[in-house]
Amino acid sequence: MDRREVDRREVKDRAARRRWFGRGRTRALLSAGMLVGIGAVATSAYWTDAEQVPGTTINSGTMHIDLAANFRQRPESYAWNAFVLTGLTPGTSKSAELPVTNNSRGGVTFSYRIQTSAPGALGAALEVSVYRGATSNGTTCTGGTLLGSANTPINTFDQAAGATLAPTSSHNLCVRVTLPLAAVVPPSSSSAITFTFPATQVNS
Amino acid sequence: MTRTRQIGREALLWIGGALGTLCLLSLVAGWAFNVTPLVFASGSMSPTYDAGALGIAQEVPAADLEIGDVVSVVNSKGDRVTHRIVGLQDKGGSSTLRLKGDTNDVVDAELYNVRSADRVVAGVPLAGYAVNAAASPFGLFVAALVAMAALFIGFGSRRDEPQGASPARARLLVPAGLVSAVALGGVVGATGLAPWAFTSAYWTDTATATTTATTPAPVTHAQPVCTSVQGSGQNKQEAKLTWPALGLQYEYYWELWKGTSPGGTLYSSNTIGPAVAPTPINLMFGIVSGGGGNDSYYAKVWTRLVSDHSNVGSPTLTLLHSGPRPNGPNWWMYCGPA
Repeated sequence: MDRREVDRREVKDRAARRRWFGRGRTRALLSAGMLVGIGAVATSAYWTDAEQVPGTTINSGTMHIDLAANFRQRPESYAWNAFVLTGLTPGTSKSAELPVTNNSRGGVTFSYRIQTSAPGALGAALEVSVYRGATSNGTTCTGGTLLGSANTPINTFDQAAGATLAPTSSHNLCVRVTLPLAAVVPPSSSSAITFTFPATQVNS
Repeated sequence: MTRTRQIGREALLWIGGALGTLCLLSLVAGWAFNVTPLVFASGSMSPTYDAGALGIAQEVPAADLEIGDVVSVVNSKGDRVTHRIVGLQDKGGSSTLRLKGDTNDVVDAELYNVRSADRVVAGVPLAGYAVNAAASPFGLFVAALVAMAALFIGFGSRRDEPQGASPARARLLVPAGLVSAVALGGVVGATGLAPWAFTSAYWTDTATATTTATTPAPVTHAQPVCTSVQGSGQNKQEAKLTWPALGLQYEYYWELWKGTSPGGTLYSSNTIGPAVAPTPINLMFGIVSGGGGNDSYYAKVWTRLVSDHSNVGSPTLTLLHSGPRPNGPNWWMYCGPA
C-alpha cells in the first residue's frame, strides 16, 4: 500500500478511537454497572422481604435503659427500697411504682421486657402483676395496661413491655406482689426479688 | 464546546465510571469470594467497628468459626445481627453461636444455629454512611441520574458530529441499554444473588431492681379460751378450747394429761391441721373413758410449723377438771381447776 493509504488508515483509526475513547464510552459503559447495582439494591431492599435491609438508620448513639431517677448507668442495679415487702402474711398484696426511662444518647428507641425471679420457698409462693402506665396506692395498681396475666408466679414472669420507648420518654410501671392466702411459707423466710429489664434497640 | 461543559462532562463520566466499576466489582467479588459488605448501624461493636463503619465480611463454614470472631447472622425476625462470638457449640456441620455486642453488657437473648456465617475480616470507618446514603431512595435516584447522564454523553447523538449510519438504531441504543441494565440488576436483587447486606449491630442494655420479701418471724397461738359447753343427752358437758388460727404455715399439737401440771399421766394427744388466719380452732374435751370421779386434768397445746412439724416456742397450759353431772350418775369435763 502506498504512503497515502497508510496515512488515511491511521487517520481513520485515530478517529475511530477518538469516537470511542474521546467520548468516554468505556466510562459510560462502566457507569451502567451502577444501574445494575441500583436494580439489585432496589429490588432486594424495597420489593423483597429478604435479609438485606439497606437504608437502616445508622445510629451512633448509645443506649441506656434507666430505672427510677438513675441516669445512664451501665450496668445498672437499682436497690428498690421503696418497695417494702417485709412481713408478708398470706393473703396480702403490696405494690409500688417504678419509672423506666430511655436515656439513650442519640435517637435510639428500644423495646424491653420485664422478668422477675425470687429464690426459696417464699419466692416459689409469690405472685406478681405488672401494669404499664398505672398508679399504685401501696397495695394495688390502678389503671394502665396489664402485662401478661395478673398474679403470675414470680419465677415464671417474663413479659414484653408491649410498647417501645422513644428517647427521653418513660413508662411508669406499677408492680404488685402478692402472697396468696393458700401459701404455705415458713415464718422468717426471706427472698431477694430481682426485676430485670432487658432492652433491645429497635430500628424504626 | 465550552471549557465548563467539558469539565462537567468529564467529571460525570469519571464519577459514573468509578461508581459503576465499584458496583460491578463488589458483585463479582461477592460471587467469586463470598465477600459481603456490611454496614454497622449502631455502635454496639465500637470501638472495633463504630456506627457507620463498612465491614467486609466473608462467608465461612460453621466449622471455621472461633470464639472472638465477629460474625453476621440473621436472627429469627429476619434482621442481620453482627456481634462477637462469646460461646460456640460445634454440632458437626452446624454450630450454635452465642453472640454479644462488645459494648453491650449482656449477651444476645437469641442463640443462633448456623451452617455458615459471614465473618467480618476488615472494616472501613464511616464508609457505611456513604453506602447507606447510596442505598436510600434518594441515593438510588441520584445514582440513576448520574448513570443515565454518563450513558447519554457516551452514546447519545451529538449535534457537532455527522449522524451515523443508522440514526434510528442509535437513538434506541441508549434507552434499551438503560432498561436492560436496570432489569439485570433487578433480577440479581430479586433472586437474592446480590451480595450486599446491611446489618444492625444492635444495642442492648439491661437494668435490674432488687428488693427483699420476708415473712414474719414465727409466732405462737394465743392462750386458748376455755368454755364449758353444755349440750343435751349423755356426755354433752364438754370443755371447749378455742384460739384463732395463725395461718396455713402452722399446725397445732395437743396433749391431755390427767393430774396436776406438770405431773400426771398422758391420756391422749393429737395434731390439728392448719387453717387460714384467724379461723377459730376448736378443741373439745369430753369425759375420758374410765375417767369418772373428781379429777384434775390439763391440756397442753403447741404451735408447730407445717414445714417440719417442729414446735414453736412453749405450749399453752389450760387447766380442766372432771366432776359429776348435776342431775345424774355421769361424770363430765369442765373448764378450770378442780
